[in-house]
Amino acid sequence: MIAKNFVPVALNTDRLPKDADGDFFRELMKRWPQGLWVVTPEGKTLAFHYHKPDSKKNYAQNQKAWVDGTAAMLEEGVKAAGELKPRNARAVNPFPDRGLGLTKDGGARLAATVVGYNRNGQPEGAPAVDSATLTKEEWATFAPPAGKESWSIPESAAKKFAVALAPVTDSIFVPRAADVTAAALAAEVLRTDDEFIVVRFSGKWESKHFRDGDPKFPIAANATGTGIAVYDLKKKGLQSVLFVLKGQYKNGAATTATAAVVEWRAEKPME
Amino acid sequence: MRRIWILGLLLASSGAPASAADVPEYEALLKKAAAIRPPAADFAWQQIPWHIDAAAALKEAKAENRPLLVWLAGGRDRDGSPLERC
Repeated sequence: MIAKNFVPVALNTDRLPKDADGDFFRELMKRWPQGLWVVTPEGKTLAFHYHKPDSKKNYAQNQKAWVDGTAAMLEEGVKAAGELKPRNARAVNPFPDRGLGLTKDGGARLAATVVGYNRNGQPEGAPAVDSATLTKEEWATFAPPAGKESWSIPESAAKKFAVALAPVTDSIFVPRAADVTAAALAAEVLRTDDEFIVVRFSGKWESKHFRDGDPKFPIAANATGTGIAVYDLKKKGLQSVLFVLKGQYKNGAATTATAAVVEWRAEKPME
Repeated sequence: MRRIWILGLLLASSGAPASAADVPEYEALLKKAAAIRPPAADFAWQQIPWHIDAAAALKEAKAENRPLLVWLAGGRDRDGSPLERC
């Protein structure tokens, strides 16, 4: 429904351009600082939805209410828009360097997916999607240095795995690199053959922060992880890096088991 | 006979370039990762043709005379996009 009828756009309210285009979206925020709108190019709101959790409902009920409310709002928007010729727009990856290739400055943007589990060990909640962007200098430390069988990844790079510690999509509940109180990521060459050097990583992380900086709302997380990197001797560069992390996330009194995949490839695999 | 032998040698040496998938340790970790990865249905929203640039989205909406679906999120003075975290 969305792709067929609307021009979809997702924007960070703190990073809107300081021009007339940004003003268009700032005008919408006068109604509410975030949410979903169906709006004409002239600025007329046809439909709006922002989900406010109901304390009388449990998590699953609130999730259903959120989905139902969003669907109803989209229907309302389609109806209010009147007759529209169906679009045929294809999705284009807005983050082509996420988990793939090098960034513009020669670093790497590792793709992180984080999942939380309920008491029965079943995944709970939407998976969190994020990136850990490493500078060129930080990224270079993931490749095996000449003549060394083991080394440590600098703390600044290890701390960027903070994005993999929280299974939540709202950033206020997610530790930032500065919130990581302990980050140790060690690397060792597992073996070398004619084509590859295989590197194993072992990591351990802990974080602590307060939601919105308020000591009444402490959040703590920890994780351990294993990674494998494949360094291509012919191409003289890393070909693939993959980490699996497991840990715990504590928001107030509630503790959630977590798991994360952090990954990167030099090139898309051949289909 | 010699022709067949040479052909066999050529075929044997012309396989696809080696990849990380040929590395057993990487393959083993991929299996662990697969157990964590959510199903594709959890990422259906990524198949929507999202813009992340305000100007480009407005330009397209005006050109097509079509409403926008606007997803605004943030408020923490952080970088990022609603399509990840912000």
